[in-house]
Amino acid sequence: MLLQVESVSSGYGKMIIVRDVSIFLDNNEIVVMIGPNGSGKSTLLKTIFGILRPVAGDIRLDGESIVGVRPDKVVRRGLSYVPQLDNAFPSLTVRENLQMGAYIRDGYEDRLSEVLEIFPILKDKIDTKAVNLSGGERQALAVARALMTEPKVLLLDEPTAGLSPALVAETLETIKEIRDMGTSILLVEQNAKKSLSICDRGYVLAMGRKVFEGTGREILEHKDIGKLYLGESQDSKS
Amino acid sequence: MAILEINDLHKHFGGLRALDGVDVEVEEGTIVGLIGPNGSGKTTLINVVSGHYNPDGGRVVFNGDDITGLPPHEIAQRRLVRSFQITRVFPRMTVLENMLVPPRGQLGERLTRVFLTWGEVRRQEEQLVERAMELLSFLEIDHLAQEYAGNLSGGQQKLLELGRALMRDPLLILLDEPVAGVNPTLARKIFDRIVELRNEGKTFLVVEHNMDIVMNFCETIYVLARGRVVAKGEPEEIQTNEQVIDAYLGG
Repeated sequence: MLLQVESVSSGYGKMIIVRDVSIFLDNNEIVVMIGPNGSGKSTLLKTIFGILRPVAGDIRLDGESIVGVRPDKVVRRGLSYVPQLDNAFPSLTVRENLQMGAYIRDGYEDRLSEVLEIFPILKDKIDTKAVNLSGGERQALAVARALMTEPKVLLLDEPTAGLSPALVAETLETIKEIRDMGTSILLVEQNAKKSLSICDRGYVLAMGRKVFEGTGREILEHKDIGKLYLGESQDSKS
Repeated sequence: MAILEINDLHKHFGGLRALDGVDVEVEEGTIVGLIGPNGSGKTTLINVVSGHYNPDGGRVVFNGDDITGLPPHEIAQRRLVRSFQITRVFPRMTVLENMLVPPRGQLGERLTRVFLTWGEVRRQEEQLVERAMELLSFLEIDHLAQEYAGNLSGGQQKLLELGRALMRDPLLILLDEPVAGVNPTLARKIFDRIVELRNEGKTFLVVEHNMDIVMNFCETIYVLARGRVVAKGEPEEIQTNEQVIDAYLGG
């Protein structure tokens, strides 16, 4: 098992957000987590990455526990993370941002050209400051930055938020490409239907707990989940 | 009657024509959608209308008055209120306190009043708290009323942002991606409520990428591309407009 999260509880100070959640991620998988706002999806990603320390449970990467390992060390073990907001250095150029992403490597030029192959739109903007990028370009930069370390696991927090429908589709295609190149992806999304349609498996979180797991199709076709979390219209209003 | 008229609006940043002659008309009591690719000028348009940017040309008429170039607080006083794409909540205030900041004409803001007409001040405050709690409960974040806003999740902060805009009792609300990052089921509920507010006479201009929402809830849709309006119409017309499909919706 590539990444195993076992009975993890986590939160901020006394506020426990994630309660006893167990999930896993295998090689060459896209796994999506959906659920209402405040259900603990982002908190779980932060906990896996070592920004938050779980109050209970274990997190293992390649069989080794990474609980209590700081983010800068977790990165060296092959995890990478793209937060929802503030995920690029605005005053730095695209190239400088990507260089920062590669800080654990000796050289970065070879990896830079590989990453730019995945995100051609960044090629033309290589010397543009991140602050001057459009929303879509900026999200692409954030993901590209996280890929600079050639991670085994990529944690993505709502990479399609604020993107136009055409760009959402493009971003999800890119995520598939990244998987096919050997990086497994744990994805938090509110574009639930679209992300479920490209994922290998999915989890539904609510009130900090895992309430359902299955293939993307199983989740999409589940009647109650459709109503509760996917925005399907309700036939009768209570 | 058009409550908002935007005529030939221009805004440039250096060589970039973020708005290049935009005309938009918003009828009173409607929900108007504003869509377009990222970087097409949607947020810039909101920023100019709400007074956060000065335009380089053109006119904005709200409720019969020319408000072009007025500062944001004066525009807000006329009951034209906006929300932000990146939320601007006060992180070290509670959710309820955040909700109590926007309402106008709060008696307790004058020290003499606090002493001389304490009863009145308190009554008004109780009313505001009640309204705030109603809105929070509708937005499904009432259980977080006493929590610091900075502790809310990204999506919950968006809901608070919307709640604060509504606390101002606006005539026209400019919403910049109100449901980006909001769970789809709640997003629909929020728009159900927006429809109710529309029925009470309020008007909405909404920037949004969620097509389920835009196509189901907006009466008129404007499509912006490279700082210009490239299409305008009802959802059915927009959905079948070739140019819009190519540039925005994708195949």
